[in-house]
Amino acid sequence: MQQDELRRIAADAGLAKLEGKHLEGFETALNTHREQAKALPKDLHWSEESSLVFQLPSSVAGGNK
Amino acid sequence: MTEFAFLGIAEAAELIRGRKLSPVEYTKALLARIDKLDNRFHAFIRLMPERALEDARKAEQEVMAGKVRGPLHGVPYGLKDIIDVAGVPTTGHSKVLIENMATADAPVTTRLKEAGGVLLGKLATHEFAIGGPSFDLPWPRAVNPWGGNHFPGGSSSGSGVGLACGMFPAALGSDTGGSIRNPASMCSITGMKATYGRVSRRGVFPLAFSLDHVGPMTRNVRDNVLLLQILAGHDPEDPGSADVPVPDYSADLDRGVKGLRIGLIRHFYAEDMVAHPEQLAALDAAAETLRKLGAEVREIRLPPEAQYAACNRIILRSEAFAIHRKWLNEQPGNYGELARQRIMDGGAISAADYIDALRMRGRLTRAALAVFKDIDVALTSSSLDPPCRIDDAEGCLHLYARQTRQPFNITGQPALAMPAGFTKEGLPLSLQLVGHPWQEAMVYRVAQAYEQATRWVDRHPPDV
Repeated sequence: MQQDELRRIAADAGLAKLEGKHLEGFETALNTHREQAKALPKDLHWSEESSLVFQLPSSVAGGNK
Repeated sequence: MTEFAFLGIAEAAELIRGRKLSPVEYTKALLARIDKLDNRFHAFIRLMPERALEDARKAEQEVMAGKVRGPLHGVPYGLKDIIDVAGVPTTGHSKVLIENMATADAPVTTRLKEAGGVLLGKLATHEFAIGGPSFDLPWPRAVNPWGGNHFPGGSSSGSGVGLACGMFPAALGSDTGGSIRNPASMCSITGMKATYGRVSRRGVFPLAFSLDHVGPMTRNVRDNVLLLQILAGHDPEDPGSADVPVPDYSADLDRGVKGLRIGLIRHFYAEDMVAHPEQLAALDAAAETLRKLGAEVREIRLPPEAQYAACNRIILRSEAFAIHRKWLNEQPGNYGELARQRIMDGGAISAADYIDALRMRGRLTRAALAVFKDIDVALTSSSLDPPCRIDDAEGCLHLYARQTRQPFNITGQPALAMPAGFTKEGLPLSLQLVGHPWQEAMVYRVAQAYEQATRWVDRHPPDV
């Protein structure tokens, strides 16, 4: 990958200060994830929600009496 | 000194309550043992002898005055160095946090203190519970006493090593992708990752919020039950903590397994990956032991282990990266190489891929729980191999991937690793028992029956 593009992607990920071997490590991370992402299902239905769902605690329940 | 080394928690606590064992003499004996052994095995990164003796003296005065604070009264323990103790550094075994001072006890620390425990010190861990075994950190990595110079597993490496060496009878670890169960397997001890949300994670440096579990590590099942009983409970300030009643984990502990339905997840270690022949044989033998004890054992199938592993990896590394992003950017050189790379991997994961992994998690959890409907407990592998030499970097990396623990971080079910024998060379073999959510008592019941039938726990490393 071109250094400029790698730096741009690293900066987008919040790693704007990486240099040298640490920046190379980020390129390794990109390559690793490219492979790992193949394991994600391709057939997720729109109704299959994230397993982390925002929920307010029941103690804040209120409303009109 | 040796007579105290392998006392269990339950035994020691009973002797202390009966005034037959002085907490001060017990603590002194263990400190002497640590002094003799820890230069070789490096279980501790911060031994706290003055504080330990102070706690022990207080415990002794209380016993003599007829006051016993709890089931751990006068019993020494160690804490993985990601768990906060007020006024003591929590370093994560990393240069990044070398001066980080905890300002308050983690709730798990408070519970152990209130139960009367004697804190010996902070224990070695893989850096930030992810990077190990590493040779480029401010403190040495822990070494397995089994084999003499072998990998003890991680990330709760110091906890496993200290227990195996007889340095203490109780320790806490954490488990995000197997880090209680891995050292339990490699060091021939018992480690429980309870249901997600059973034990408070507050005051414990996170690796991945939605996968982290804190849990007990001991040398036998009864001790593990005792320790989880102390730790379990709702913490309203931990958003992941569940407000679910805590049962008496020991009520059915010795009921045996007659009539219980045990599902053998054999494909995890015989097809999805193939275990070392002696490990595979040990697991099949364990299934046979449980059959002879009266359980019905039949094979069950979950989705392939690789799917759980991939899902765990994406979620873990994304969440870990978010926690470490600022430090990685500003001081990457203060991380060891392994932790830096593993955490940095999370920076390459898109938001959409992370969300899809969370959706995949839902799917994989539903699939597992559907299979569990027809069984009481599952039996499967934890590690697929015995420990390798710690200076065999390739071997350690190879072992890292060859495990079947991650599925139960994804599903959040209770999962316990325990000894299942030894290789011809005397290296530990292990098994994993998995229960329904919140059914730790059932897991313990099966574990206890197996332990009593095999007594692998009576064996200790030969050179300590």
